[in-house]
Amino acid sequence: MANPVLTMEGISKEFPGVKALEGVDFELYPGEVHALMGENGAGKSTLMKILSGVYAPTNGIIRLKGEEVVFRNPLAAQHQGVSIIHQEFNLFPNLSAAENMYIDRPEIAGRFGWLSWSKMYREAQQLVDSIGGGGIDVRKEVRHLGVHSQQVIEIAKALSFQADVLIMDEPSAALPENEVQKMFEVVERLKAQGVAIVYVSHRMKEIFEIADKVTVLRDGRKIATRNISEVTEQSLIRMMVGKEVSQLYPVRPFQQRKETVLQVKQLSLDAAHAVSFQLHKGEILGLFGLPGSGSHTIACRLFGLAKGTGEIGINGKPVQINSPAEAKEMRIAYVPPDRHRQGIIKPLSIRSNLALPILRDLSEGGRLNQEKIKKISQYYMDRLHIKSPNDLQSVDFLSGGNQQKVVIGKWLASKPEILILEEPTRGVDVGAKAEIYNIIHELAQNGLSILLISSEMPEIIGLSDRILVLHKGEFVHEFGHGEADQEQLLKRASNPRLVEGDAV
Amino acid sequence: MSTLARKLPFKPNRMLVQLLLLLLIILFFSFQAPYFLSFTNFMNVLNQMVEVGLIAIPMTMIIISGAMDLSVGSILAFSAVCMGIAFEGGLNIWLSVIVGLLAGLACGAVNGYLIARHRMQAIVVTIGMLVMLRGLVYVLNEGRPVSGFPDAFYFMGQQYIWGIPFNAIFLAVMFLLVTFVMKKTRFGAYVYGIGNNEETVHYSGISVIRTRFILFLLSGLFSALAGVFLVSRLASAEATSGTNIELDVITATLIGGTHIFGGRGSLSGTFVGLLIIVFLRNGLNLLGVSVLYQSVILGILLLIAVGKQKA
Repeated sequence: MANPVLTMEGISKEFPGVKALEGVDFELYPGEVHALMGENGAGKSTLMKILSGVYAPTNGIIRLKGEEVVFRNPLAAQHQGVSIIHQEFNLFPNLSAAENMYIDRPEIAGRFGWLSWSKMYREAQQLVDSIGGGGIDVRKEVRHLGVHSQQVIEIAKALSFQADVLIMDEPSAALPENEVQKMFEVVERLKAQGVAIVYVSHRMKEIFEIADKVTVLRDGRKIATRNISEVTEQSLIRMMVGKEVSQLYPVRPFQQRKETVLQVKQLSLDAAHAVSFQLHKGEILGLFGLPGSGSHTIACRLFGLAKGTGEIGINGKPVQINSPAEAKEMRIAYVPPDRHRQGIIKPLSIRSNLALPILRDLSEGGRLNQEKIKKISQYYMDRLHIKSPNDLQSVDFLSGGNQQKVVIGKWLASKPEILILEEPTRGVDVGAKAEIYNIIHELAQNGLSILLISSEMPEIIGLSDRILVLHKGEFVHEFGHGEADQEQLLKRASNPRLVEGDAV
Repeated sequence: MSTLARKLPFKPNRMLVQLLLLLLIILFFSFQAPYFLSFTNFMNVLNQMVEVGLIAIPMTMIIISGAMDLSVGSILAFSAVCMGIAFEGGLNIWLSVIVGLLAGLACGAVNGYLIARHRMQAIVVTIGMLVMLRGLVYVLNEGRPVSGFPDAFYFMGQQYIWGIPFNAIFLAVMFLLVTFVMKKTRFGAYVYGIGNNEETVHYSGISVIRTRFILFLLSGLFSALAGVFLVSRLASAEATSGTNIELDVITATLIGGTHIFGGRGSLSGTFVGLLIIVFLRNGLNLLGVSVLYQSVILGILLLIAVGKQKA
């Protein structure tokens, strides 16, 4: 095999009080896609930040094409051929794609330091075309481009530095399911051009589809590097978690339908068109659709965040839900998809966060009953196994999984009848995922009716009693207990007409 | 934490730094200006800080909630002049006071309606009100001051009880009352919550609109109260009353440790911030330092105090 383009030897990184990385070795060859995996906090992002020049390692050596290098900052790393594409795009929405690509590039300047627009557009277009983004007009403002196109622009921008090494951090996170394939095509092209790609992702399926090799980190140490053909999903999880996670999903036995708790008729607004469904007591009903298919809109409507037409009935009585406060009155709870922005108040304590929705019930004559608040908070800390020394700790210090448990806990404290969960395990590591799945399962067993909205197909399939598939705002299919598999689900959600023998 | 800090038996928190600063200012002027460290002077200072102090109460809450109210000075003048006109029109003085307070509440309601209900930017709305109301004040009374109020009314701003000014006692009571609200009630919890993450509060089934509306209503009410106390203290309702008072109020709030981006702050901090700026002003006055230099010094103090606040 050829010489490695990049070697990292014995990389260690210490932050005050924490060893983030300990003696990690990493090798990367030209034209390979090398997946980097590990639970949250395993050290993936620290390693990538060292590689891209954000942090300096405490110990260890980085060699690029055999020569030892020290990256003083990300720009220096880029100029030497190491570029990173972050999970969140760093594009200026009001500038054109070309401007975004060349914003920090002096070489595009023409005479007298004036900007040579024609040269910039020409080179930008060439670069974008070369990685298979032929349909994209680089003169367009970025905000008018779709997510996939924006990602192509990010990749092109990274490549404009003549990158030998490209780090892609959760590249599929921002993409709708059907655009992931397009991104893979771009990656394949880069591979063919000899670019070495570090692919950081949580998604197993993608790793097996695109990666040649995989390196697993755990607790700041390298566990192993393997060819992708040598590993299975199970063995990877074992390496990441350090123990066997035999059962990610609890077994949900088939149940007779009980009484209807929530009845929705002809709900319409924005992305949803005349949607009707029923949720039964103790049921987990999965709603699945590609982004923009309307499942998020339905959740917003049911929680009073958006207004629209249609009828909603709870326990047989028609209701109006005009605000989250009214939804809460009707015992509807909503665990929103964006935990950081909508679920928690980071600087505040676990206790304050848990008590927030029910402060009214905890007030006596205008004054908050601190004893009751403490009791409730500690009850949910125990019940949900929120890992923290005490409940006065700020939620900012918790891991993603524990933060998510706080969001679930604060709604359980409101004693809901209907729980809407949207992306309940986004950014949560495998261990905590299993715990959250068990909690959801238990809640349903105890009679809570749950509407589960998720873009992770295994999650929807593993947890739901029934699954309703949305396509462009309409229900196109219902899977009964145990009927769905990933392929069927995706087919129905992408283009229901392709499914044969099915009159939709 | 530095080694020095570790040796201290307590954590050197912000409040402590502020109290030390206050102490230093008092010590400094005690040596420099002989009249400074006297009961009479202190009580005079307290008497004169009440208007700024009253408005600083809702201002602290509003800044904690992540907003801003620049219209307080104009509301103060508008309320004062409304009260004056009502009195001149033959209304009983106490009913006139109520007219003034209602005027303030109405202004606060307009601010609150636009900012909370229509989600307009607080700074923009309150600058609009600042300019508009000040104009309205001149239009209403053609810039003519109103005076000749009955003696009973001057009690509010000029009476001393056991040597302590009545209005300062009132201010202290208000501070304690609202401190209780902020620390012990759910309204206070909502205000801190909104300042830290408005969306989460909304998603928790709590009316952000109502909370914000109440805050601006309170701001209107307290500005009007400050107007009433000012008229009582100076015995005259003038169109220029309260001009630029918002700058002192905001300075005191920020020096008191309230975070300009919201989410953090306390009324006790604001109270110390108030004392710092009034004693500094008073001491510099006694030393004969010109008002212009006083502004320079206060400005620098503000920059140092807020310089460490980052988003």
